[in-house]
Amino acid sequence: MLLLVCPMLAHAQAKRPTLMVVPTNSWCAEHGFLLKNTQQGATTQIPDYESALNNSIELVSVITKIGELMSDRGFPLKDLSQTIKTLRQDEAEDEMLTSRSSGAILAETSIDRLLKRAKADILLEMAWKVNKTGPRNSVTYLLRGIDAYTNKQVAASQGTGQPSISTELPVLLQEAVLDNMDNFIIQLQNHFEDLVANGREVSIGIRIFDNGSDLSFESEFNDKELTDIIEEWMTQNTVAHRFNLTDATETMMNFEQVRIPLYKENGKATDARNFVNELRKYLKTSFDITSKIVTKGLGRADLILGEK
Amino acid sequence: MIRQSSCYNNYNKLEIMVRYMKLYGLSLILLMLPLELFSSGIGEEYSIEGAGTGVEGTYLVKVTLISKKASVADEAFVRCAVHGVLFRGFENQLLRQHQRAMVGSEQEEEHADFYEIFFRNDLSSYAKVVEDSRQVRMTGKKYRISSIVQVFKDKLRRDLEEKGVIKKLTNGF
Repeated sequence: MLLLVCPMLAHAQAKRPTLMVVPTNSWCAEHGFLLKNTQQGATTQIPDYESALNNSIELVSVITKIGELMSDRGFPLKDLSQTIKTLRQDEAEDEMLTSRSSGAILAETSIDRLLKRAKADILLEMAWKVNKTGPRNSVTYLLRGIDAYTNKQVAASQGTGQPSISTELPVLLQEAVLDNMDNFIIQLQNHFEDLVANGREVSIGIRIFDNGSDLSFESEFNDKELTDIIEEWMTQNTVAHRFNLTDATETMMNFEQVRIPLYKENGKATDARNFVNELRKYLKTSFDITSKIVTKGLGRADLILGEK
Repeated sequence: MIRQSSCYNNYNKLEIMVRYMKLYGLSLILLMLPLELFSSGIGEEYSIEGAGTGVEGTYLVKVTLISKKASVADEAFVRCAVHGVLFRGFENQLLRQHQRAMVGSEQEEEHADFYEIFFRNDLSSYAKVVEDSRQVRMTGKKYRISSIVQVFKDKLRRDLEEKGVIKKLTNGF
C-alpha cells in the first residue's frame, strides 16, 4: 500500500500561487489613473489599470523588468495588460454569443460580473516617486506582496536610490528594481517555505441562504449546534488544528488563518475550493444539508448553506 | 646627584608618557575597526560593504581584509566576497544600499561539509576583483587592504540551487 501511495506523493505538486504586478492605488491617484464608480449613490474611486498601462511607458517598463527577474527564478508572473485584454475580449465574445436554437444569451449572475476583474493570488503592488533636490533626482521605490485573500503582506522591499544629476528616470527605475528585487524574493521564498511546511493559509466564509428554511448555525443536529459541528470538522481537517473563527453569528461563520494541507491523501494538490468541497460533502452525507460553493481564488472560498 | 635624580625622574615621566601613548594609540586603532569585522568560517578576517549597483546579475561589493602582509592574493578577496554575499549580506549607508544575505548563516552550519570544500575550490567563476581598485592602509601592525569585487550572484545562486544546497523559489510547487 505504501509503495502505491509514495510515487503519487512524489509526483504531487501544489498549485502554484499566481502573482501579478499592479501599481498601488496611491501611484494611480498621483498620476491621475483613477475611475469614479457610483453605486447606490456612493462614489468610490478605483484604479484604472488599463489607462495607466496605455499612458505610462515607465510603468510598463518596470512591470516588464520585474516579470523578467521573476521568470529568471522560474516563477513567471501573470501579466496585467494581457489579463485586461483577455477580460475585454471575453466580455465582447460573451455579448455576441447566443444559442443557435433559441437565441438565448449567456446566463451571468451578478457575482460573475463582480468576479470579472484582474486578479491573482499574490498581488505585487509597486510604486515609485521621483524626488528632486536642486538639480539632483532620486527615486523612492516600493514593492510589496499582498496575499489577495488573507490581505497579509507577505514580502516587501523599499528604498531610495542614490541622487543623480544626469541619470534619466528609466535608468534610475531600473536600478531601483535591481537593487530591491533580491531582498523581496528572499521574503517571498520564506513565505513559500512556510506554505510548504505549515500548509496553505486560506479564508473560509460560511453563510446561509435566506430561503425560509429556518436553517441557522444554531440549528441542532444530534444534540449539537451546527456551529460546533463545523468547528469540530475544521479542527480535524486543518494542519495542526490551526484556524481562527473570527466571526460567528446565527447566519454566518468566518474562518481566517485556516491552514489547509497542500495535498490530499491521494496526493492530489488542494486549494480552498477543494477543502470546502470536503466540508460540503460531509454536511450533505451526515446531516443532509445542501450547500453551494463560491470560489474566490486559491485562497478564499465561501460555502452557502440551504440550497444550490 | 641632584641632576642625576632629576634626569632619572624625567626619564621615568617620558617612559610613562610613551606607555600612555601606546595605550591610547591602541584604543584608537580598536575604535577605528568597523564593528562588523570578525573572523569568518573561511579563516579570513574581513568586512564587506556595498560598492554601488552592479550590472544585472551581479553585485559590486568592497571587501576589506586585515592582514599582517601588505600583499594579499585576489583569490582571498574573491573567497570573502562570495562568503559575505552568501552568509552576511552587505550595506552602505552612503550609497543607500542594503542587501540581505543570500542564504543566511544558519545554512552555512547546515551544509558545513559542502561549504568547507566549496571555499577551498577555485571561485573565479563566481567573482572577480575589479582592476585597479585595491587600496592599502596600515593600522597598527596590520594592513587593511580593500578591493572592489564583482560577484556573479545569479550564477552563484543557480549553481548552488543545482547542487541542492539552496532551495529554489519554486521548491514545493
